[in-house]
Amino acid sequence: MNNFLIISSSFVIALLITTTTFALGEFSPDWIQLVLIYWLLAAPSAVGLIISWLIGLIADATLGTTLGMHALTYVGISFIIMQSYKFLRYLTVYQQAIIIFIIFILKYTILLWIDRLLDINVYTLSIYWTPLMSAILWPIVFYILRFIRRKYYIA
Amino acid sequence: MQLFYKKSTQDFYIFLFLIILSVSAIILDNKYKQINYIRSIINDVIIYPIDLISSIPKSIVELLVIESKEGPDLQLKITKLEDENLNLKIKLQELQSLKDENLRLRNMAKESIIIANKQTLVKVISASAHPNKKIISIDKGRKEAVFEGQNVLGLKGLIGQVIEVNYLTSKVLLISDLNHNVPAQITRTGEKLIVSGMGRDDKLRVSYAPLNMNIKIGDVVATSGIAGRFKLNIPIGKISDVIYNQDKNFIEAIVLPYENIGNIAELILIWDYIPKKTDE
Repeated sequence: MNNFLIISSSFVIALLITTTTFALGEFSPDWIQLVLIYWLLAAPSAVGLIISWLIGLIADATLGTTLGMHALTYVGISFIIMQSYKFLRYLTVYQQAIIIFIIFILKYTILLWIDRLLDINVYTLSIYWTPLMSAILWPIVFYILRFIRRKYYIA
Repeated sequence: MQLFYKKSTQDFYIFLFLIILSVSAIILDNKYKQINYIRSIINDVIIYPIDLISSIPKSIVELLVIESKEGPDLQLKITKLEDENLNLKIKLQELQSLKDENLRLRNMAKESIIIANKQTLVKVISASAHPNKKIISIDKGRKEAVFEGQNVLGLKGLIGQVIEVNYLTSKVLLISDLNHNVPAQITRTGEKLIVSGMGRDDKLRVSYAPLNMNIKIGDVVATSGIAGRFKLNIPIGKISDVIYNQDKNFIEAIVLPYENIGNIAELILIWDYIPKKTDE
């Protein structure tokens, strides 16, 4: 119960930060995805594919994109991370940041591709700033969430 | 080992199932707009409270500012407002007679001129509700019968239109959005043009006006009612710059909006105009 409460409130805070940093446009990092990746690595038993999908759906509603777009990429990334869990877990934070940068490039390419395929045209190529900002901020997110996890003994 | 294998294949099937679910959600949302109610449920249950929480610091600051204002200051303000009120009342009488006269003249031409008979004041809860578009969210929704396409005005001119309606909140696309175009006219001559957003709050643009168009700095631009999206004769702004571009064979112009579009706290919804549905 404790786990559930802490993890879901971390997602609520991520949503809060997302809505307040809308003004930054594409320079705002992808907070929700970063928090999700942290919990996938730190507490793999607590978050799974279905929770990732639901969070993706919430992200879609928050960001005003076509429902299912982010859900698709969230499930894909969660699956990749769950499969390569053993490899990622033992990298240093900065090595993880590089991996996250590559994964995010992939994610935004898929989003851009869906966007163009359906002729929605919300995204432009400047969306690729987001992976960079997210990778730069990954260590901060990591250390803050690790502090919380250790304080409340979440495994 | 057997267990690990079982878990792994189970994950794979869940993954496949969710991917199919996502793709069908994308297709349904994009093609048929069937699952919009899922979006409004998420918006009302999760995002509305979050917006409220995120606006708490701002409202506390505003409250403190109001509290710290001293008595004499307020007294001064009240007298000033009373003066203004009196002046406005006198002006209103003049306007009423002008309006009546105008209405009579318009009736001959069979056109309506009144901007709105019924209007509602709404508050902006989040000044940017989308990372890449000029969208704001307001505090009225389906509960107050807000509808999609409803025209949104400021006190001085056009602001935008409602594009998404949830139970408690709605989203408004501003006319300053990069992909937003308003069919407009110059009120002096009645010539038609299209005003587009530039992605900036303080400027709008007329990209393509014919070279022989009678257009001057200071001309008032208002909506033309063509295409049935916006009501006729809502003021938009003033022409501030006209660029004659001989090579390209058209005129470009910059329009200064009357409203401070990106930074506004209260908006007006008008009720007596229902836009035509277009098949998009």
